[in-house]
Amino acid sequence: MAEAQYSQGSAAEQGLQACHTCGKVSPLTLNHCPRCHSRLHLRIPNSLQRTWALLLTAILLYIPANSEPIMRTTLLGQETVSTIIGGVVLLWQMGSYPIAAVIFIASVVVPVGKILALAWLSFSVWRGHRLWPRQRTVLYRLTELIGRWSMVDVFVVAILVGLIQLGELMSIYPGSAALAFAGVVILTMLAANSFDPRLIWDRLPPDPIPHTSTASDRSTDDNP
Amino acid sequence: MDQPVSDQLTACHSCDYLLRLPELQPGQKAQCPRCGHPISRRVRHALDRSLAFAVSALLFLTLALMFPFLAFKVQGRMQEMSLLHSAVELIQQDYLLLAALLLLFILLAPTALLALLLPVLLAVRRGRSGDWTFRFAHLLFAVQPWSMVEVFMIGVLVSLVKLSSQADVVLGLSFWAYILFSLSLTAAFAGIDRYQLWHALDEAHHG
Repeated sequence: MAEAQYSQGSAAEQGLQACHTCGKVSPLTLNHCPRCHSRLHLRIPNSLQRTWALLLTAILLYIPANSEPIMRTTLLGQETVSTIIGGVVLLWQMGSYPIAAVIFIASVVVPVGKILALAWLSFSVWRGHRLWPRQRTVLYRLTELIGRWSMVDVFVVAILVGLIQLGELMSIYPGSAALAFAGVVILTMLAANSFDPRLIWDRLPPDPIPHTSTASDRSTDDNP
Repeated sequence: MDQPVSDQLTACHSCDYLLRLPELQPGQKAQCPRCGHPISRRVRHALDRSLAFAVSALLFLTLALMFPFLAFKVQGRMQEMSLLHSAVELIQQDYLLLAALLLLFILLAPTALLALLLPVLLAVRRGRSGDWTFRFAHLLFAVQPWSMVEVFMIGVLVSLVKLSSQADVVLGLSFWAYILFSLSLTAAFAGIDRYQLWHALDEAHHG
């Protein structure tokens, strides 16, 4: 029954569900939130399957995003193509270290880190791991927060293409990797959206140790 | 005090821990005792501040659309770009989808945010909320992650550095307006606490 499936102290254990949108707590018998009319679910339906499907698509799309050119530059009639990594290397060689670092973090570290984090979180929930629920929740919140920042390189391409159109003298055109990479960012954002962090806490043993110890930690933290 | 007890009952968004939230005083915040996720935060005059910043964001957005954004000079030739122009150029290069995403992230989503936020805040202030305010607030939180104004600003700064070695780049009036728009929009949302907003809407609905 419900008592066995959900962690001690959770709303689900009490036969209650919280609205995703407004947070109002309702009995399980309701299908729609009485306050904001959103559809109610105890947990996001098929959360793990959806997350896996979106992650796999993102991984597949990440291949052309790196192998294809993200933009083509024509300078005095000569055309050069650059990939994401190529752009970072070029900036580094030019001595623009901070900008190279920004692009590298936004286009490589964040998306790869995000895919790995979500894959590990989904795997740990699927296998029913019980360790570090709090740390895993923080990791999830982090992946949710930083996801949008990967879009920087796509915006750079859009701005350069919009600004630099001087024909043979100097022109910049978008490459197919720009769209592929935008797809990667959108898919990982959707994957983060479909992962339900409450699954990390379901099936924890009754009265887990992290609960009691962190509750007392908190009360000291709150005194400034 | 007359409120039914169940109204203060809530569950942590991150771990589903059931908790009873006391009425917060301005400056206080509540965290989930189990996972540490922030539940709610009350800021003094949060709604009035949000309203003020949302109105200024709307003004700066209008200005940002009216003037040149950046200009670029090389070998005596100059080219100007407005905010909408980069999308137009992408469309001409047959990158329709990329142009649509760009418009969505830097113009449509942020405009929708303001169009939803302003009426909701006004309804709360006037103590009159109906079914539509709940729908607007619902949409507001759905649209929020897709507004990428701050990310775009970082992209603009990166582009400026990339170009600085090859040509002179002139910052247009819209560039500054868009920066102020970005700051105002962030400030408007800094005062929005989901729990407090829904609570306020509830009170405006019943009271």
